[in-house]
Amino acid sequence: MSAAELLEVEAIDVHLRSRRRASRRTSDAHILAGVSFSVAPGEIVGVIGETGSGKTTLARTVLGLIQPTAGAIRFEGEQISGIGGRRLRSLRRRGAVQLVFQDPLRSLDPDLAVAAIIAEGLDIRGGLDAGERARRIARALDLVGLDQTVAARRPGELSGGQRQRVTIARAVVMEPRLLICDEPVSALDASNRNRILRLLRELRDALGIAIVIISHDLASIAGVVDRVAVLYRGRIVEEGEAAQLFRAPAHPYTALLLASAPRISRARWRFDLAPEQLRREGTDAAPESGGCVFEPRCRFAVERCREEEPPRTPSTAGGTVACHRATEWRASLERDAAR
Amino acid sequence: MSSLALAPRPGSDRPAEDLLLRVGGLSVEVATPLGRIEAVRNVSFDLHRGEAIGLVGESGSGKTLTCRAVLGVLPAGCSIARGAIELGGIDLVRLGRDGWTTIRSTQLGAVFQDPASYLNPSLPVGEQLAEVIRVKTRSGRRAARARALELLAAMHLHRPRHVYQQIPAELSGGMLQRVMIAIAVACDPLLLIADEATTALDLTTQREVIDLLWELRERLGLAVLFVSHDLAAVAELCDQVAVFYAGEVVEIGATSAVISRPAHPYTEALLRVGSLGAEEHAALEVIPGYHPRLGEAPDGCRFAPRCGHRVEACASVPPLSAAPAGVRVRCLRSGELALAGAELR
Amino acid sequence: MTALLKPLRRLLPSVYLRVAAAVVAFMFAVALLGGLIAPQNPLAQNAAETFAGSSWAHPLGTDFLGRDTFSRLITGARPSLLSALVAVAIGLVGGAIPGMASVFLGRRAEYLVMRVVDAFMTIPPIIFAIAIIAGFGNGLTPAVVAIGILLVPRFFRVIRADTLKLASAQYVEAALLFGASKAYVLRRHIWRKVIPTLAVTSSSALGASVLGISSLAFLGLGEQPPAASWGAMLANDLQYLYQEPWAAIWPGLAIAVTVWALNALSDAVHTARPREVEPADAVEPLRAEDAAAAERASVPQYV
Repeated sequence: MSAAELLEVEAIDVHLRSRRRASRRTSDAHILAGVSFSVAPGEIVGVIGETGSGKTTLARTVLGLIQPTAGAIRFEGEQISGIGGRRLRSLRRRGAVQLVFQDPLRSLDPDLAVAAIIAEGLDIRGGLDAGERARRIARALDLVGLDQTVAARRPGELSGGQRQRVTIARAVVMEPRLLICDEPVSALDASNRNRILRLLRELRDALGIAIVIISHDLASIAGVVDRVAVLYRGRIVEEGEAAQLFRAPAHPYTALLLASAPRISRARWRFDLAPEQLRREGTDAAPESGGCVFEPRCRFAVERCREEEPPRTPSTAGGTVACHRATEWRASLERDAAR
Repeated sequence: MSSLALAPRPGSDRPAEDLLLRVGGLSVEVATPLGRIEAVRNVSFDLHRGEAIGLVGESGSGKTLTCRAVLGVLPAGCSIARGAIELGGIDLVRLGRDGWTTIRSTQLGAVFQDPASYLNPSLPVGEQLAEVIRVKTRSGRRAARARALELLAAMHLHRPRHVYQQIPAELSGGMLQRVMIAIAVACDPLLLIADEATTALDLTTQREVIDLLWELRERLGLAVLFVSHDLAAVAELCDQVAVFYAGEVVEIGATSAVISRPAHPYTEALLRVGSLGAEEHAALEVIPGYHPRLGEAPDGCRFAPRCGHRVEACASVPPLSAAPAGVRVRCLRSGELALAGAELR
Repeated sequence: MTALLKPLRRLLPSVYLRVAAAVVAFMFAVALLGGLIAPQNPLAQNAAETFAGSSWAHPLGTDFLGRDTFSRLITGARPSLLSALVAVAIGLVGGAIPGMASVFLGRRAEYLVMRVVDAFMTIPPIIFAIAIIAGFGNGLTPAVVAIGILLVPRFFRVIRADTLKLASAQYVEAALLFGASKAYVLRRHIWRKVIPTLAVTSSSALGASVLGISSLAFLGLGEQPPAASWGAMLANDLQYLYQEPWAAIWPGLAIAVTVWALNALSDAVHTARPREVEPADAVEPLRAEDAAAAERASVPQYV
């Protein structure tokens, strides 16, 4: 990772002392293990994870809400993990990294007007006169495509899509360099989803903000991301440039994700494998500790996969992949098909 | 297994005895501070044994209320204003409480969006399944338990005996949904209603559930009414699709026909918007404007304000008319427009 | 304030509530005006007219010293009611503020505070009041202070629970992510939302307080004779039950009706308080993200 990276996440582990987690994952105490990725300035990165992948934990760890038990997180070269108290507060007031919450209904104070909500970060930071504050609020509303009249309303008076924009405006008004969006579009139908994704792309193009989009649906964010990292049970199993990943996924799980999405397509693009070719039947078993986390569900798993956790290696797609059989599994499928 | 190899089956081809569910001219009204407003207007469709129909639309389009009307569980303030719903000849609109108790589970099964909230959080799921079997089929405890285990295995749940004794919190969303499906089909109903049953699930799990539903259709001859805002998911499973907009059905017909050659501009827009971007950054299509809220729909064609093909004549309500391949559409200009279709996978 | 009054106004059509509110208002008016409206001097003894029956001069008769019962009832309202208010104020300040603050303490401090409050709740109330009075002398003030202190745990726990719930809101987390201090969060997002709960707790505490002060007075603790107080009147009347069987009804009724009205009011405030936005309440078709909540709320368990 070069020094020019905006965000560097380096081999972080997170163990959660499970107090209230009714854990369906059995013995695995790691919520995240050895997670590394980076975000360059102005890049849009997608982090794909299903339930139990640890994606929300990852977002919260980057923001300092959870402390990693190992590894480090650096922003603009400066270490931001493992700090607390006043230092953390002062870092947060700088506002360079912002979070867009998943649930716009619950992340906005229902008793405050939109203008107050948007300006909250500025108010906490302080030091702005009323005129400048008003100007910034107006600009933020403009950037997210909301009418100025929305400023006087309460969240309860807005539609879901508008609320989502307010959460984005609240983040953007701080002039951040990195935006982390936790499932920004999961609750929206296709048209509204694309609207928001377009907005994020416009923000990147106009302001140079880097964006991390966390999602469980790989295909829905395909049109907007530059790079993708695939998270499974707390590990990054594949990472690389979006177009390459879609064309030729190196990890069986990525392939399974792409194959599982029911898609109507007008382009010539279609994923050539069916989920049945990639799934292994009858599995709810937990992965063996020390082995590959995907092994129980993987059709191509061999003995080695159970015993040894695969390291991240460069993939043929130009990114990285953590799979012992990365170069072979496709071929074995074709062999089986030919028989 | 999940390819759409089934030939299109427009209703008129099937013999009358095969007709399972008939919805005719259904209108549902909602009581609001501004008076009673029609949230569902004049919806009609037929479903034969073993067939699957999908109701597709955005939030507020009326698909959920239609589904709830068929199930007899309309929320407070909503009522059926007009129309008929018949299940195997039984009139569901005027059915009394005893009647509903009889047909629920035995003729009609249902699964909903959030399985965890439909299960008792402190009892093992297997016991809850066995209880339904015992009550509805009046079997003994041992027989019910055996049947429950059989069902859990049929749902492709790994280690059914182990799952039997788990409480809901110990199971994943996908597993819980399978348990719900097991409960729904436990007494061999003729019709399964799935109301956004896959919406909250991960993609890989969603796929498994859809495959399971498909298998149940083939093995049990189960008819399915599938409600979703995801056109692609509906298209995966259903032979017929009904597209809802602002409380009306704007297009209805065989899935393959509707998708490859949509007759209504809204359907075309849905296809455009839901379509996966190619490797290059896609245009991220949107449909301009917003779905009207209850009571805000214009007179005349309700989609007109957002439609790129509207003309003056669209100010009057278009009737359902015939389109090619047995599709029916609510659009005055359908015949003259060349709308772009898509392929499924 | 207006946020609270508006929903209250909505509830006014209820007859039950109107009656309760009227009773409370009336009682407090009497308490405030006290001696100004009493027809007779409540302290004036008249040996010739002890245990007199109803008459124009003495609508409710006289007590064992010939004092007018009606006037004593009126002036007795003040020590019973207004002092109850003071007790509630003590409980509120002593309980609610630490209750809110305790949510933001470190884990060890929180634990300690909780145990102190728990210990407090184990003290038998009357014994405690007696102890305070033994220490500080008999009179209205020590009695009020004792009741006030006894109300502290109730306020503490209720406000703490409410604050805990409010502090776990996502918008609080959002504020923390902006680098807000805990004090800011309390100020901006929490304390205004706690007011409805405070109002409910205060009104029910008021009822308990009136009862408490009257009970103490009954035992001879609190307002000392010859000043009138309902509890003391009750005690005396019970002593002279043989001579005047009906006398005890009046103070007893006064206490009972007041406490009932305060509790009814508390119930009403509880029902009127602004609730969380529930998407399921809306009958309008909902956006996709609200649909899930609506499903859970509106569809009965399907078997």
